Amino acid sequence: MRVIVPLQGVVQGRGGLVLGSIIPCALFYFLQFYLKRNRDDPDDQNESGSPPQNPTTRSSSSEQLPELPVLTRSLSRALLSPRNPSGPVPISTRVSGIVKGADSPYYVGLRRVEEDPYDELDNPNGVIQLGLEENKLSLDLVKDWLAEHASEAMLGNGKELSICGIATYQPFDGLMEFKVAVARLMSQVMEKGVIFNPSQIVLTAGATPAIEILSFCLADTGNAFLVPTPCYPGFERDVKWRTGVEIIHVPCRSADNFNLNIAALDTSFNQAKKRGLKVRGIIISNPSNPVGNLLSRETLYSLLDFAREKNIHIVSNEIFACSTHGNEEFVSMAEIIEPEDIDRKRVHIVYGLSEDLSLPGFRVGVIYSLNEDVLAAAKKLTRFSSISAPTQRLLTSMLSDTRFVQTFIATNRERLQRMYVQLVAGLEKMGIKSIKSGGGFNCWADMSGLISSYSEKGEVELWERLLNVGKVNVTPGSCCHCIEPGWFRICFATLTEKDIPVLVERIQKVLKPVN
Amino acid sequence: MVAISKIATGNGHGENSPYFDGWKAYETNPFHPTDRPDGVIQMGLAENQLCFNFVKKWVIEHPEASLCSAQGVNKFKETALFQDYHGMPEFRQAVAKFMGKVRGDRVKFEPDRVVMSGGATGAHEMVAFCLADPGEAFLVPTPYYPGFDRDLRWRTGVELVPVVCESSNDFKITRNALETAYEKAKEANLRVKGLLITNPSNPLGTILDRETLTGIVKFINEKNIHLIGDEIYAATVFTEPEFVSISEIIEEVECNRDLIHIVYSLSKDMGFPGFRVGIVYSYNDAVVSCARKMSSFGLVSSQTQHLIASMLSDNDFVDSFIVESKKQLLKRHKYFTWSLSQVGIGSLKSNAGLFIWMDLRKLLKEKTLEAEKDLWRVIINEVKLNVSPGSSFHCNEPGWFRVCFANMDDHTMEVALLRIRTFMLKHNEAMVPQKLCRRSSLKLSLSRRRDGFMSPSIMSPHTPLPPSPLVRART
Repeated sequence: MRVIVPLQGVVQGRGGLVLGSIIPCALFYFLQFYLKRNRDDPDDQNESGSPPQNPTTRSSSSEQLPELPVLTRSLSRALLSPRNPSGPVPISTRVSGIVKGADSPYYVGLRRVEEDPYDELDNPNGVIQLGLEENKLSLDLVKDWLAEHASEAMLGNGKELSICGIATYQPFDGLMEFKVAVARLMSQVMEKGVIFNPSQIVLTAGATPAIEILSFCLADTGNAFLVPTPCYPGFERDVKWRTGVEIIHVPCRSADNFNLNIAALDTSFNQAKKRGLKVRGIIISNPSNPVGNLLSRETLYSLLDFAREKNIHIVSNEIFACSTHGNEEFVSMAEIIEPEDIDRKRVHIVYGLSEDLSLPGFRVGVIYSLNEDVLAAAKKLTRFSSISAPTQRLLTSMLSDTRFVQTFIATNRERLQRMYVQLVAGLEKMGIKSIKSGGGFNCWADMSGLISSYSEKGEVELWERLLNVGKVNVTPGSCCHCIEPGWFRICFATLTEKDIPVLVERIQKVLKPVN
Repeated sequence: MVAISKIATGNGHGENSPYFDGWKAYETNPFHPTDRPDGVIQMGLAENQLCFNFVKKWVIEHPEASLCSAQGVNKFKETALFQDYHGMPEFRQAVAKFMGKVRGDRVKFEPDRVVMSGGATGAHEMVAFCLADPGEAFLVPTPYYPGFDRDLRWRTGVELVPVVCESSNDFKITRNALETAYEKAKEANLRVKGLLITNPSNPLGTILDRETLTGIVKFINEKNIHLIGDEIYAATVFTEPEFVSISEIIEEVECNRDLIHIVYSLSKDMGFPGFRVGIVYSYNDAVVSCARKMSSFGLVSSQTQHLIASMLSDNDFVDSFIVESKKQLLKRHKYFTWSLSQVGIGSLKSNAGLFIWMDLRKLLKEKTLEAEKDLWRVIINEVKLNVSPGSSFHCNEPGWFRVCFANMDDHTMEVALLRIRTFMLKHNEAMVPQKLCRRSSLKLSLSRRRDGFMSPSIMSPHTPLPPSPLVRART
C-alpha cells in the first residue's frame, strides 16, 4: 500500500488538518482492504465458464490489450484460506485479468476487418485495414530473392541438406553465423559507420520477448520504467504483464510535436520517487511509434545525461530503423555510446526483422547491449524464446547477400515515402493535419476538431463511426495512451496506391454530417 | 554502476546444477571420431537423432513444404506476414492429428486447444504463469528433469515440492507419496496449485500404468488442483506396455476437465529441438485463452509451422515415421542395456525415452551424495563420458545416473561402450563373463552421420559456459 499524503489545504486548522488526514487515510485503507479481498473472487468466477476467444479472430500478436488491468502479484501465503475442495477451479491472477481487455477498440477493429476485409475486386465494400502495423510494400523483393536463391538458402554452403544443422539443439541465443549476419544488417541499416559486434547480440523469437527479457533483466517486481506517450500499445503486455514491473507514462504534447521532453521525464521521475516507486529505466522508441518522430542527436545526448544523473537504464526500441522515409537523419543510440564509455552499460537496443524486413511471421528479435551482465542473463532467458533453426539458416543466407540488402533498404524507403506522402495529401484535402513522420508505418493524424466532445468518449465515438459507417479501421490515440483526445493512428504500409482515394472518400462520408 | 534485477543476478537459471556441469566438461573437450578421439562423449543430452535420414528424405522429396523452393515460394508472402498468435489453422490441425496418432488414435485432440510456445521449456513456464501466482506451489514426483527448477520457478516465482518416489518399488508414484508431499506443502504454508507428472518419465524412461494414472486423476480432483501432464516423450515408447495418456484416462474416470493440461513438443518425439515447437493443450477454456496471448513471447516461426503442417499432414510419412522411430529406439536400447549388463551394470527396466536410468549404486564407496559426486567426477574425467548424476534429478537415493543413447551414431556408441567396459574391468567390481560379445567390426559408420554431429562446430545448446568448478575439483 502506498503512503498516503494527507490532504493538505483541504481542511484548515490544526485539528482539522489531523481529522482531514486521518479520516481519508482510514477510508482509503479500508477501501484497499475491501478491494484486496474481492480481488480473490475473480479467481472463482473465471473458471470454465468463461467463453473462449473467437478462434477465427485474426489478431496481430505484435499488439496487445491496451487496457490490461494492473495485476497485483498476491502472495498466497498471506491470503491462504481454506478453499472448498469441490469448488471452482483456481487459476492465476494473470488469467483472471486477461479476460477483460477483449473489447478494446484495437481488438474490435481487428475482428471487424477479419469478418469483412476490403478487397478492390472481391469485396469493394469491406472494411479497410489501417490498424495493423505491417509492411506489405516490399515483400515482393524478399519473395523474388527466395525464388532465385531457394536451394542455397536451405542448404547453406554444403551440397547436401544438413538435417543435423537445423533439427538438433542449437545455442538458444542464436547461431553465431546468424548473429554475424544480423550485426552486418544493423550496421548497414543504421549507417554512419557504426559497427555492431555480433558478440554483443542475443537473438530472441521476435521483438516482443526481447522487450520482456530486458524488462526482467533490468527491473524487479514493483519497479518501474518511464515510457513517453503516445506509445506502442504492446508495451503493456511486453513490459508489465508477467514481470510485475510498472510503466509510468510520460505524456508528450502536440505543442512539442509529441517530441521527447527531458523536463517531463524529470518531473515523472521525481513524482515516482515520492510515491516510493523505484524507476529503473526509460523505454524509448526511435523512430517513435505511433508518431514517427526521429529523435535528434541532441535529444539522445540529453537523454543519456539524464540517465546517468539518475543512474538508470535506457532501452532504445529501434525496430523501425530501416523504415525511415524522408530526409531526416536517423541516429541510433549505438552512435551516442562510445565503446569505452562507462555509460555503455546502461544502454540496450532492441531490434528485429518483423518491421524492417517485413518478416513478422519468422519471429526474429535482437537485444544489443554492451553490458556483459545483462547479456549473460538475457542469453539464459532466450531458453524460453529461441528462434527456429531453419529460419535462422534461411535468413543467414539472405542477409549475407549484402547487395540484396542494400537494394531492399533503398527501395523500401522509397515506397514507404511515396505511400506516406500520398496518404498525408489525402488527409490534408479533408483538413486533417498530421505530425510530420520520419519513419515507421504510421501517420499520426489530428482529428481533435472533428470529435463531438473533447474527451476519450468523443474520440471513441468518432472511431466507431469511422469503423461502422466509413468502414475504415484506425486506432484511437487512447489505445496508445495519448493524453490529448482526438489523435488517431493510421497505418499505411498495408495499402496500395489505389486504396488511398477510396479511403479518403470513406472518411469524408463520415465527417460530413458532423459539420 | 547501474544495477540490474534480482532475476538477472540470481541463480534461478539453475545452471549451477551438476546436470549442467557435465555439459561444460563436454564443451571444453568434445569427442570427435577423428579429430578428438579422446574427447568427452555426450551422453547427457536427450536428443533423438536416430531418424534423421528418414526425415531428410521426406524434406528433399517435398520441396513445396519448404518455402525455399520454386514450388513453395508462392506461399511465402502470407507465411512471412503471419504472426497471429492463434497459429496457422493447418499447423494446429496437423499437430492435433499427430498427437492423436501417437496415442493410437484412441483419443481425438481439438485443433482449437493447441497453443504454441517456445519449445517445451516455454510451454512449462507458460503453464506455470497461467495456473499459479508467485509463492504458490506445484508437486513434482522425483526424480524429475532438472530443467523444471528453472522452467517452472525462475521468472514465475512458483515453488516446487517434491513427491518422493523410491527405488524399492521402481519409483512408482504412490498415493501415500502424493499425500505426504501435499501435507508437507501445507505445513510450509504453501498453497498447492497443481501436480506435474512426466509420462513417459524423464529420467526413468518408464510409463505410468492405468492404475497409477487413475489414482492421480482422482487425487487431483479431490484436492481441486491442476494436473499437468508432460507427454513430450509419448512417441518414444518403443515396446510394451502401451503408452496411456491422461487424455485417455479422463474419458474413463470422472474428472473436472478444467484441471487438465498437457505439455507437448516435437523436440523429442520427432527429433526437432532446433525447430522450437512447444505445445500447450488445455481442457480449460480460460487457460487456453490466456496461454494463447502469452504465446506471443514464444511463437513458432511461421516458416516452421508451414513445414510441420505439411509434414504431419502426410499420413503415410507419419505412420511410417512412428514405426521406424520405435524400431530404431528399441534396437539401440536393447543393445545398450545388454552391453551394460555384460559388464555387470544394471538399469531400471524401461520401455520409453531416449535414455536409461543406470544403476551404479554398488560402485559407490558409501551410500552418500558425496560418493555419487566422486563417482561422477571419475566418469567425466577418466571414462570421459558425460552422464547425468541422479542428484541433479533430485533422486533421494545416490548411485543412479541418466545415460542418453539416442543422440549418437553406432560408432560413437561402440566407443562409449568400450570405455565403460575398460573402466569396469579396471575396477574389477563386477563379474565379467569370459566371452565378451563384441561387434564383429568396428566400422567407422561416418557415412550415415556425415551430417556433422561430430563436427566441432556443432556446439551444445549451452555454449559457451564457464568451466565447471565441480569438474575441476578433485577429491
